[in-house]
Amino acid sequence: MAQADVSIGTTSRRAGPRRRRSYVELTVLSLVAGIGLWWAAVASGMANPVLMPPPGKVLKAIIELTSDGTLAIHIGVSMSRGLGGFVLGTVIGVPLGILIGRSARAHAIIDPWIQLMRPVPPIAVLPLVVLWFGIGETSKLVVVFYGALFPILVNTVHGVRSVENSLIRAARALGASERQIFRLVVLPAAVPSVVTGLRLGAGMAIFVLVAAELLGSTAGLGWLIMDAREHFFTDQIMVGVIALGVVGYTINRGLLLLEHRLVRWRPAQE
Amino acid sequence: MTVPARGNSAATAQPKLSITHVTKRFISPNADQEIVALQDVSLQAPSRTFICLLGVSGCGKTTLLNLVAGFLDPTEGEVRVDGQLVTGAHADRGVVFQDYALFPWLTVRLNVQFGPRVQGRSQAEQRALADKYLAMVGLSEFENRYPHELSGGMKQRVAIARALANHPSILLLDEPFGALDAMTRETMQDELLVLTTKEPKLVVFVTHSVLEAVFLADRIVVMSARPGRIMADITISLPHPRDRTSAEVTEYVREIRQLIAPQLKEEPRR
Repeated sequence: MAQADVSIGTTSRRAGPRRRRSYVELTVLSLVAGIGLWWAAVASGMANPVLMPPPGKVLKAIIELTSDGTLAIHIGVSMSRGLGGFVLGTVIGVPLGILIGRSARAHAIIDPWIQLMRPVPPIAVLPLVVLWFGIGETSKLVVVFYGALFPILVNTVHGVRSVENSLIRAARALGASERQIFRLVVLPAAVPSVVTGLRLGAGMAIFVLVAAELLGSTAGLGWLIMDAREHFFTDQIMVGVIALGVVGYTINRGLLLLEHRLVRWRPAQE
Repeated sequence: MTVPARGNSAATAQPKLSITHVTKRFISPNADQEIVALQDVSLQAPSRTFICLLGVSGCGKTTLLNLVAGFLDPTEGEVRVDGQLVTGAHADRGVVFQDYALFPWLTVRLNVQFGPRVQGRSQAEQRALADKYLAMVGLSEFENRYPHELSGGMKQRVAIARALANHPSILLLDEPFGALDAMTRETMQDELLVLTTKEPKLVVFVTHSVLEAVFLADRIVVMSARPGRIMADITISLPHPRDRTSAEVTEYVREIRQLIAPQLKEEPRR
């Protein structure tokens, strides 16, 4: 009986308005514990300090690479490459997606290519892209663009195609022309989906970019990691990895903020 | 306040709405079967009348409404408004949907202004119309809310204000209160009667509730299912406001229920 009461209590609480409890303490504790475990593993001799440098050493490397500007330069190089490919993917992916979403004819012509090319990991096309465009900046731009394009394109198409029919009918009955329906109903209705596509595209851009930098480059975070490996500077490898994590996290947060601004009209639960 | 029954007194040579020998067939999703939604339906209606289309689900009442709205074309026969053949949606025929169909990215005010806006009215006119109709449905305070922040009844009030702001001469409502609870439903029925008395027009109201139809309508068109046909055309000559529990109303409800009863047995399970 007592147990039944408890379960009723929990269900009703969940059904009510969701209270946003913040567990900042737990987050901080989790991070501290993780770093502590890392330190303990090295200090106790369980992990080889040459392969797994202790937190202190990595922190020292972070300070060194930051103070002499090396890290900033490599982040800058990677960012500008990634941004270039991402912007190109957006500028082509969003209008193309709108076109495919609107026109059954365009869909019939272009969609089979998307469906065939989409499952191919962008890294798999990298060798060919390098042969076509050389090992320089162009091939990196192309492959990042290729990676970012599909999530943006596919989500834009989905957004445009999934506009509720009753909204279009409502607009039509209010006297809207086809052009007005497109501009005032279809486009705004597609915004959440497009922004999701941008977020996924940005993640893909970073992913592909680092892979390309690892395989062949003279600067960038991927190169930093590869170069450190050549010299067996495991602490610098860790710095590169951490930098990628922080950069990726920042970009994702920024795009989430943008999403929040653009789709303020959506219920909070979604 | 006693509102006289609006009837055929204003009937002119040309009916406001004229549906002649309309048949509507759909191809079922399985493609091999043809569904006859409406079979040889004819209906004439003068202006300033409140008509309820009443019937069990599947009797084609929503299809008939969509034909008048211009969202669908008849397979055979024709629909005319003011003598003009209906070939598509028009701002002169306002539509209120069961699922509200409010634009979720627009505030309450901008939803109401949508019609005047696409009609090219000036900003000042748009604002004045929204002011007027938001006040009329009692939602002036909520003008800056987004639809997801409103209750079902409030959403439907916005949808009605949005349709009225366009000054249509015909108002089409597709089970507008079907998703509301019983209490809200009755309040909305009262309010709708007040609104359509203030601005008389031809109202076509789809419902499957007999009591709702008897309470609202000047004339009830009872439809039968498979294929959809007009089974009876009943004039309700009771003055407004009507008492839902009065003997006269109850008697109408009883008669119409008896008429529909065989239909209910035939209705297949879904």
